[in-house]
Amino acid sequence: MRLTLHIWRQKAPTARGGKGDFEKYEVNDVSEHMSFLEMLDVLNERLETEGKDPIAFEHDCREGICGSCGFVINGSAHGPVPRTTVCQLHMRSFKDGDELVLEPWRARAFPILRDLIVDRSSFDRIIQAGGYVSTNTGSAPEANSVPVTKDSADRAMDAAACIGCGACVAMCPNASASLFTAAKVAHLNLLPQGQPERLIRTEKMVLQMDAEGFGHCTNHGDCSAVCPKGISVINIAQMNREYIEATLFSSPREGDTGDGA
Amino acid sequence: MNFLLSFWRSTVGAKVVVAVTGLILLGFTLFHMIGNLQVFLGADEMNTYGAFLHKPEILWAGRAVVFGSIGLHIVAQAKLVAATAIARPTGYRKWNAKASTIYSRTMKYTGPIILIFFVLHLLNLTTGAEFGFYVHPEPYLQDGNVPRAFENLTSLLGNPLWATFYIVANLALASHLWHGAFSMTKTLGLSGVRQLRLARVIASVFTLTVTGGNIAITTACVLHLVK
Ligand code: HEM
Ligand code: FES
Repeated sequence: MRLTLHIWRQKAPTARGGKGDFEKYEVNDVSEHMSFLEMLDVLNERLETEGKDPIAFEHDCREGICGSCGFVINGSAHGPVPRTTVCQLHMRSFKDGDELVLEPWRARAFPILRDLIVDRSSFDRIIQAGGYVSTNTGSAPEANSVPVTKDSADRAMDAAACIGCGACVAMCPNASASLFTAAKVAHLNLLPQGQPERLIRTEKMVLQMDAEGFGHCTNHGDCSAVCPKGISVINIAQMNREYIEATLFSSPREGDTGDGA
Repeated sequence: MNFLLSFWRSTVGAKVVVAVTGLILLGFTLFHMIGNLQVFLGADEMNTYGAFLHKPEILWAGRAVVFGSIGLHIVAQAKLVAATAIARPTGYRKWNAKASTIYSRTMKYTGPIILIFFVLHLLNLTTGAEFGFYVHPEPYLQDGNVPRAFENLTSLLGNPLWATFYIVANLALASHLWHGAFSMTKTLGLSGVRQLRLARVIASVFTLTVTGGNIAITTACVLHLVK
């Protein structure tokens, strides 16, 4: 099949004042069995033989599990197929003659590094703020001595499926990172190992999310609809509840500076 | 008090303020609509009710709660909207809604429409006579210097232009509440799947009841069905 691509090209990072624009590419001989990234690989080989800069996009596992890949195809994060990362998207989802617009995630907290690659270290800082459990090391406890209900285990696993790709932020009309943050909060807060730091974790991660310059959540739900792992918005409601508990209904905690920082 | 300041500064905290004040306003809109249904019972019933509401304690307590809530609702929301307005400096060339609705995406427009309506509504029926904003029927006041609610309402909404404006404002209110009354439950932490399904139903029935009742009253007045 033949496709016309309009791809965002940007040489210098936004943080260093870089600006970009769309460029048009015609690609012929696209096999429907190629993945979307393979189609771009082929285009890149051609660009290189022509002495032009290849299109920069992020990828690693190409199995839909690492969370590296992702850009917006015709207004949908990771393209038109639900619950699929762009590396797992195949060209059979498109038809001959299609015109596709490829854009990077757009958010102030995700500054563009080059072409379709954005800097997601704001996510790392949200994790650093509270996405961990502190345990004393020693011999492993007897497995059955820490009971976990089936329901909590299931919900924690569902939340832990988040691969941190950033599609939720990309599609949110407010560029909010609430779904990502809520998934990370829920994943630890639902398990026994996460209990000691449950409230301080919630508070710190919410405040870090705000500090990074993401927008606020208005419960649109576009985040969950495009999430390749189908993370539910109920995690956001749970994060809200635990944040309320942490700030309004609990005593100062160890490690809490009192100024909410 | 640091914790309150920190709560207010956070996006989640400010949203909780929007949701709680929104909830109070939901209570107000329901109460206000049900009270006004008495227009169908006739002038005596309606004016007695009006006189009851004009007892100074009730009047000022009610005004404090409603004005306070509207003020906080708007201040908190304005703070959030201002911060979020810069969260995506460059927009998309293409963007498809996947789950958001026209109702959820127009909250920041339907809100101000409701506010404009609210101000005009007060001028129409609360203070209008003093400002010459609207010509009230004579005599404007009943015994005890209380406005004659029934006559004021029916003559105002007997005017097709005002009636149209009131209906349009209620459609904006319907749109705002359709999203807001459900959104609020998640903001306040309701996270059960079954509970949220029920909340969606309650929010929808609530919205249709309040705005449907208001529109029924307006329609009855403009068609001169109540005298
Ligand atoms: C009768 C008056 C009003 C009622 C009953 C009401 C109710 C609500 C409720 C329940 C919410 C949901 C909060 C949440 O998302 O969790 C909300 C949100 C909102 N309200 Fe109002 N409101 C009223 C008036 C106004 C006014 C006058 C404005 C405008 C200045 C306004 C602007 C907003 C905005 C922008 C939101 C946020 C929507 C979002 O988060 O998507 N509202 N309102
Ligand atoms: S490259 Fe790893 S998820 Fe797509």
